[in-house]
Amino acid sequence: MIEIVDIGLLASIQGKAYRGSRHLGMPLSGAADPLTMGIANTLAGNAYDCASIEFSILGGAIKAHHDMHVGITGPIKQVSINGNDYDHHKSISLTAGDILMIEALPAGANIYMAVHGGLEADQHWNGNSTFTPAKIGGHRGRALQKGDVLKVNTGIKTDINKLYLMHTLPEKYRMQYGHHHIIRICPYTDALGQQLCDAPWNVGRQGNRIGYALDGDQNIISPPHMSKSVAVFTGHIQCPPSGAPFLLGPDAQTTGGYPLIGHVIRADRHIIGQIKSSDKISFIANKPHEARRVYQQKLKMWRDYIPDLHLD
Amino acid sequence: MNADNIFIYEDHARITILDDIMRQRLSTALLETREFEEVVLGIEELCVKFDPEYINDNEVKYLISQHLKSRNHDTISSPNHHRLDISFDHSHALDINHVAHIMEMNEAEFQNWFLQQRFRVQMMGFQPGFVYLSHDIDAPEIKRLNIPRAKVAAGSIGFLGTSACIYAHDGPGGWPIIGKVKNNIFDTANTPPNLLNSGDNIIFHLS
Repeated sequence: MIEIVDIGLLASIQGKAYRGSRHLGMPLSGAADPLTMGIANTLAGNAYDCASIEFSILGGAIKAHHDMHVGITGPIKQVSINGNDYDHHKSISLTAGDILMIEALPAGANIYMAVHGGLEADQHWNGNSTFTPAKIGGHRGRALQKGDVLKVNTGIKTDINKLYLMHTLPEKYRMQYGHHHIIRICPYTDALGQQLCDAPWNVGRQGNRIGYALDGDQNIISPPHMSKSVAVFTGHIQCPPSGAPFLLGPDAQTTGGYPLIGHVIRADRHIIGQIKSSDKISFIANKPHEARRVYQQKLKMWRDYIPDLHLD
Repeated sequence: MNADNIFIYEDHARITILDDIMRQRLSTALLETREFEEVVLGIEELCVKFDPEYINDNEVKYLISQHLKSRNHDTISSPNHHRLDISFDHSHALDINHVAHIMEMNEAEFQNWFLQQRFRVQMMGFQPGFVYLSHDIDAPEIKRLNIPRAKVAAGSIGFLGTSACIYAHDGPGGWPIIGKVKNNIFDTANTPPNLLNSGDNIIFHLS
């Protein structure tokens, strides 16, 4: 078992997304940055989407109640065990009673801590991630609190020596984090693409897992008229009448009536999970066939390390 | 309706289908194929999301076109019928006077009118368990609130004249609220947790 010692700003269990449940009104949810969660789980010897802890913005701390192996990735400044610094690019071995502390970098938003075997999490439909608006998944459908004790699935047998040898994160898979994100999009018209890609956008202060309001020097001119409620997905860019685009995150609603002006390409949607308020975003326009090629290339590169990786 | 009406955007496709029943039937048929990651009903539109790693544009268009041509989806099982308990108490029905005024009725007349309507679940969306309802009677268009409420209580019934909705969870919302259902329409203790599904028929009963 793991005891939560410090949640930082916000922590929750994220794992399997609710893929295939959108017709019931259920958003995708899951890790805000599924690629980074996949790295943590691979370091821990798990499937890429085993239930893990998502520490948002500030990092956090846990206490191991028994011996265990963990993987930690994301915008990390420092990891320490009982006050001693530790290289977090490897699987980390904890013994009962150890306190593991994670300090976050100023840039980036979400750090993932996976435990070998995975955390136990409430299952609904195809997912087990925390979705707080409906109080489902994760740990009792809510964000984690100091003192929460989380169960670890301990039924998985692994050759620990193999775990150590195999799961040191190679240099080329170590992500860089900054305050300015370059994100490829498919705009829905050339004119919209020009406006979206012309200059960087500032990320508004009210952002969360549902999405981010963007603010630019010049908002979208003549935004399209309001439409009837239609399907929207993580990564879609809506345009309210104000002309300030709204970028939808993993917990975004399944349908919406604001006009859609483009979407983040499938290969880059995981980047949304590392955006935070006051960051900047520069969009680059892709055609759909380019977006698919980038998606195949990214999957190919990452599956050499995370064989079962799936990006939504 | 043919493949020319299917518009593909990298990993999702949109099809405009004005007929509610036809759209619902196609949605059910496409869900059953399990070829798509998501099948989502919208108003006058159906959208499918797919993984370009496994399926290409032509295959998407072919699959949808085949189901549009096929009459197999005409054999969908009958919708469920629900009688939901409603309260028009002013502690819940925050905008009923405003709505009744636009409907050119007094409050009692509006309540009676509402209880006589047969509603159909047009689609689910927005949040888990949330339902969009439609009815067949002409009614004036009612605008959403200028400033959405930060918190609308679970069970609240929103009304826009030609359509209505039921909020499944406490949360923000911009529909004028005319009452509240007493039934729990989303309960994780149940399998499935949602009480209502697309295509279901609903009448409201004063309790």
